[in-house]
Amino acid sequence: MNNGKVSRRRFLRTVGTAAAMAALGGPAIEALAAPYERKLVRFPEKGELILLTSRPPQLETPLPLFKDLVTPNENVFVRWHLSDIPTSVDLAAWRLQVGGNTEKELQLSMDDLKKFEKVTFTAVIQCAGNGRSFFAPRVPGGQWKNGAMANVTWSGARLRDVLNAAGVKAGSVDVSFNGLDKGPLPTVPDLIKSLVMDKALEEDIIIAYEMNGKSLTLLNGFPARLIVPGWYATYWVKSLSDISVNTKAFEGFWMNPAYRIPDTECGCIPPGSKPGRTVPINRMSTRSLIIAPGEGEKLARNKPANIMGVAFSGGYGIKDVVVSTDGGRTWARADLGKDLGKYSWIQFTLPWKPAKAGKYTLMAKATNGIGDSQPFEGLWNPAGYLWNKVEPLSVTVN
Amino acid sequence: MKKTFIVSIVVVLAGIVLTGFTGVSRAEEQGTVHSIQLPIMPFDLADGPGRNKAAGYCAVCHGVEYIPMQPKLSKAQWNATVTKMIKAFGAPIPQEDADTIVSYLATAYGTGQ
Repeated sequence: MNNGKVSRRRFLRTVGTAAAMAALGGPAIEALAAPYERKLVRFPEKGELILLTSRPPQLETPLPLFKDLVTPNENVFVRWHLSDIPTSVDLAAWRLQVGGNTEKELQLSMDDLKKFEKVTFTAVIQCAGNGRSFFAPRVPGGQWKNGAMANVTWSGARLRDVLNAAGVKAGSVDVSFNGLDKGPLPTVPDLIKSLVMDKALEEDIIIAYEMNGKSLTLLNGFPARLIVPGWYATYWVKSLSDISVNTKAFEGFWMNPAYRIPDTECGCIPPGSKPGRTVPINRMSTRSLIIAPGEGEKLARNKPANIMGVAFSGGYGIKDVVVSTDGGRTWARADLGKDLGKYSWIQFTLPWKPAKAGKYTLMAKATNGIGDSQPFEGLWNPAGYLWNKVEPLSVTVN
Repeated sequence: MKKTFIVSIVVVLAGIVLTGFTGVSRAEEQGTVHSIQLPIMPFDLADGPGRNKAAGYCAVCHGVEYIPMQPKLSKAQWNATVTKMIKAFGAPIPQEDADTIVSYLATAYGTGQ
């Protein structure tokens, strides 16, 4: 009881001090706060995800949650760039403006958008910087491990159908996309992304208003977001508000200098060096990840311990996944699970029953439909993009 | 009047302290309006000269947790980061304060070189 009294008094004193400091300026509030760590938090419409940053929100999915073939909405990672994000959207007022070099300007309500043919497919959404924290030498930016990805069934209208309804005029070179998020100061460049005309007119690019059969969560881009399957999520503009067809190539901060990769075959350069020519990041590299067993897990000898994981590519499907239980000396072909199409990830399984006690290094390596695979050494670029190294995972068998 | 002001600050702060980490995290749908309320999550920065300037200026645009999230960066890398905030994002930081912030970051969150 006495303890409780003391701590309450101390609490009140601390708060009182903080109040006095807060009256003098914001930063003092931080004096009461916790140090940085990757801890689990709950944001609206989300399950327990790993906190990277809170303003704007950046939340990473814990690896064990990737045991699902399709990632439930509440487990899908969150990544915003600018701190003034939409926290309230009135569908009665929301309109998607489509214009620029078009025959007419469209102002589509959600009902209008839903009148276009509805297209549904499953596609991996992955942050360009997924895995950035593994780069050596380390690079600044969002320090993601491998959880900035998800496999979601998206539904929406084809971008091409919407553009055709507006009537793209001759001389158009690209299409730019803006969302409801804004910078906290007018000087902060708005997050606007663009796709060259041929890309924008591809059949599989959609304006999605559903994820896994439900409305989008606000943190994942309610009421509608662009889906560019096979490409990194930087193009998947959230809370879409404006689509503009341009006669001059769009050149905003978020297309250049941001989100560029070295113009080399691998998108990589020698670690620590500076790139020459760069190009906008685009198609995802082939990846695979072992989800179970987990890093450091202890397994029992002569008991089945199936190795399970997910593999995906930038829209070319997965041809095969091989798995090693001896640090890469020998490999066995894993069984592939249900095929949800070339943009989805596929689950792989290798039945395994370790007969001897000891430490084991597990690895998985995927090859996509056109023969591209994964490197054993991390490929490096200064922004920390395209991470797809074969990841070794240690388990102990007792 | 003054007392009421202080009391309400204490109440608000207590709310932040008590709920900040679990987060006041709500979503609601009213008619055609879909809304969420984001939790407030304060973070601590390491002590050192320039700490309050770093916290104050950086927090204008983003949570200060962006700082301790980074790997240990060299002074040149921290300088490039602060310069990017000023040049690319228009952070209104006078040069003198920018120098103080870079020194703080390089010492508290850097390789020290």
